Amino acid sequence: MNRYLTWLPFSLFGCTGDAAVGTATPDGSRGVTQAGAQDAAYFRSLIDDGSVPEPSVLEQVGFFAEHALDQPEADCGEVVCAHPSLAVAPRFDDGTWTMAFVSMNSPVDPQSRPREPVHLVLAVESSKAARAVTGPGQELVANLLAALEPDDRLSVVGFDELPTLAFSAAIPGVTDVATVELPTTSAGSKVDLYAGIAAAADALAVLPDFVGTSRIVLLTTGAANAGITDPVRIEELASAIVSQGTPFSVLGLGASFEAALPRSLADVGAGSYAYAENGPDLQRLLTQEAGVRLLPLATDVELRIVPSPGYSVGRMYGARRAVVEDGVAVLRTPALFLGTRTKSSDTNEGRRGGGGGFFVELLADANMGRELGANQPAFRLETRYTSVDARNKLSFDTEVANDLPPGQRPDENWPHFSTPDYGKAYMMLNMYLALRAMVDLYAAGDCGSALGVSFMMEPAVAEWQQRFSDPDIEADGRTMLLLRQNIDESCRTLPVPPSNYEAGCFGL
Amino acid sequence: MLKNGGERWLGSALSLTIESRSGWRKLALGACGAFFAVGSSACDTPFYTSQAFFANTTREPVNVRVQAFQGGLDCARIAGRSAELLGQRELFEPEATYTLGPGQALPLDTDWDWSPTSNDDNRARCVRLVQLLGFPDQLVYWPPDTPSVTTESKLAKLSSPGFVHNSLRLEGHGEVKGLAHGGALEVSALSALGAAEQPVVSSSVLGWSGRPLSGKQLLKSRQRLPDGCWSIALGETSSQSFYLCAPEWGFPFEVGDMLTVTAEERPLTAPAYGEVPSVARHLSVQVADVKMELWLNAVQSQVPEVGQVVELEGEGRRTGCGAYADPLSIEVLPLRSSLLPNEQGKLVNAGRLTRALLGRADRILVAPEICTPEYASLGSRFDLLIVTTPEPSP
Repeated sequence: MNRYLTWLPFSLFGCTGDAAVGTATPDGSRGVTQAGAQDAAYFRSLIDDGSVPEPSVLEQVGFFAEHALDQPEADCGEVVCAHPSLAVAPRFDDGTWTMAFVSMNSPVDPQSRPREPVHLVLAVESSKAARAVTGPGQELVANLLAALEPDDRLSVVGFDELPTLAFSAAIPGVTDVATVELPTTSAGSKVDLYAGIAAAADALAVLPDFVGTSRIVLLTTGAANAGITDPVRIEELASAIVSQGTPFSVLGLGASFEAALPRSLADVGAGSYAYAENGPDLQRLLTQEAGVRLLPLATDVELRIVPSPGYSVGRMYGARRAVVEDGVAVLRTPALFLGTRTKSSDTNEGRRGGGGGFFVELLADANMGRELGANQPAFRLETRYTSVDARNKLSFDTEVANDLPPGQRPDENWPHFSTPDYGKAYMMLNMYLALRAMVDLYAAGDCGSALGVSFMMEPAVAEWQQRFSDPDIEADGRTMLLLRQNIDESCRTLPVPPSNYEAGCFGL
Repeated sequence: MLKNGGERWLGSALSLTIESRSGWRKLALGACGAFFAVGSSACDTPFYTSQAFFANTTREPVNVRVQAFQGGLDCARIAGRSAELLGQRELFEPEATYTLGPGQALPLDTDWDWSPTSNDDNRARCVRLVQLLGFPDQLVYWPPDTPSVTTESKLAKLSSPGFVHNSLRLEGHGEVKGLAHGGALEVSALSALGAAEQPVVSSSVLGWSGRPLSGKQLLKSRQRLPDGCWSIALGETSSQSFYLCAPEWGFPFEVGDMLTVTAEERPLTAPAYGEVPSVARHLSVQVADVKMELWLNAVQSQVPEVGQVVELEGEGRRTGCGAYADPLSIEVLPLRSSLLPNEQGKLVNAGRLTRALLGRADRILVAPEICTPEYASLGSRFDLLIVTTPEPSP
């Protein structure tokens, strides 16, 4: 059995379906990763096929999740521990790259907690596009019910322009769902996604005396063109459901899948996020879903990165929901769950390392840096959450110092890490930024600069590998070179150094 | 517009490469006369007539990609604000690539598709995104009343002040090249990486989902969803739920009430070319002398309770889908006052309490077709909730 903890959702399936994340370390700490996509498999597959992917295909949360990241022990004495660190590196121009990073883990062993029954509500879009994958639904529902434990319950809601409760509280091994058919729909009918999610919330309320946990699994093509179509409003509903302790998984469907809204829902959802290309794919994902156990650890989680004098907040990575409020980088999430599998469906395909975290660029004021000098705080991490076990609000503040004055480049052409043992996260970010810049520049028509990025990064990758020989970074480097080859074949132009490049210079 | 004697030419001296998702297809067009003209004019008439040009004044050929805006655009109202309103590369459609020889000009206000309808369509012809290797993307806007200028050949007419005034020009030679533009154009460079300002993300306070049963209906249950909206079940035997986002006072009915419910959609005016059809939605619920009316995506002429609508310029916002809207102030006649977006008011008059909440109230200036219908067409629209009840006892 693999154990993993997720931040927002636990999430972990990619397009190929059935790989899992195992992030438990020998010391018993379990890494907390972001919700949403858990790999960049589709991005890599397009490059393998000779294409240059659209920028939107490169999903940063998924890319980070492919990397295995070591973390300090979860010894903060609470259910969730946060670990801040800092890296300072030279930029490719004359500037300095200063980056804060926060990762999270937990000492909780899910095996020490009794399994609680789950009331699972399946919300199934019944549009024509969705039905091409789900079929009439009897087999899908029967198999899902069969995969649940005897004390679990299953309710199913179908929705297009109208939501319909197909059945409520079916009992595994008892209720016959063979005759149940998901609602049919007429061609061209619209989809009221808000109503579908709201009806699923209603279905949870139908069993007020049920003792156990709850979960919603949404099957969607991403369409939301009837009723309340405001994406923010739809996300708020999903977020509010999660805040009440119900994880929310999202499975995408259909050839015309529109990923934007499902991906946002998955970000708040505290559940899985995956795409099912066809019926068997979907069946496999649902069976996995039935085998997942999610243990709530914390609610109302808030991370705040407060820059110290001499710094301000710049770009943020790894957490799409992060915002800047009064100069402070803030990431809020409704709940954290500990996820485990209870079925033996895990495989080792893909590069699922379970890595991830929250990166915040700190813009250093070099003038102020000369006054402040070295060994001064760079930022303060404020961690707030409510422990589900203790039902109390917890608060931790940790300050991280920069050994160098703000804005000063390291003497050696190599990054300066506050915790050198955990520097890989920054190189992972650098690889993401390189790939991202290449596809962005290519999409903007600037092939020369797209190629230039790879030539600038190539020695940095080589230097990193010489020092650490990391398989994830090596694979990233291969992907970058293959992407360069694809761009070169498409454009046939000379590489030029790009301007305004976001990454740091590692080892040039 | 590419014209010759009032008719459009199918031939030009440009080498035109159109890039599509399926690959590249190249249309090498011959010089004037090598192909044929739609019409009977000769080659000595104006070659290009356009409000805006790109010109290659260097000694080398250059590839230039031109992208058009996808959706509706209120061209007259975005002057002076084009970068703020349109500074997102994602708003522009897949590119056409042109190879311009030394000295050649390219008219920017044509879509080059020569489709039968394109001559008459209302597509936004006031803005283009111009891409040149080695330069940031250039957002080029020209007001709709910009006078057109003409050329007699494929070449840029640099001796003409009008042409210079209306053109974006690549100048210099060798390694030293730069862009210059005339005063008729508003030109902004987009960042090579990253987008412009972040959109303002706020949810609409009013809305409904599902389909309320119309006619006389029993209010079977009403309860709060986790996000604070209402889950409302109507019907005596088989009930059907709908979901209403409104404040506490916005649904002043009790379980067991026999309600008179009307839910309808009303089409707005026919959309212009490139716009998505939009509808207004109206929900009316009444029992005795208690009444709620909810209008979503409505226009002034549809709501009798609405008086003056005033556009508040300069306080606009960009939505997540790239639309841009200025807020509106809406006069609510039963309140005898105006409301701003997300503002509520109340008035007691002749024993009746009227409460109103104005939700979204937008004058939409940029309407990308990828947006949901509320933001995919131009115009002034709003969400408004009005509830009237007997005056509460003191």
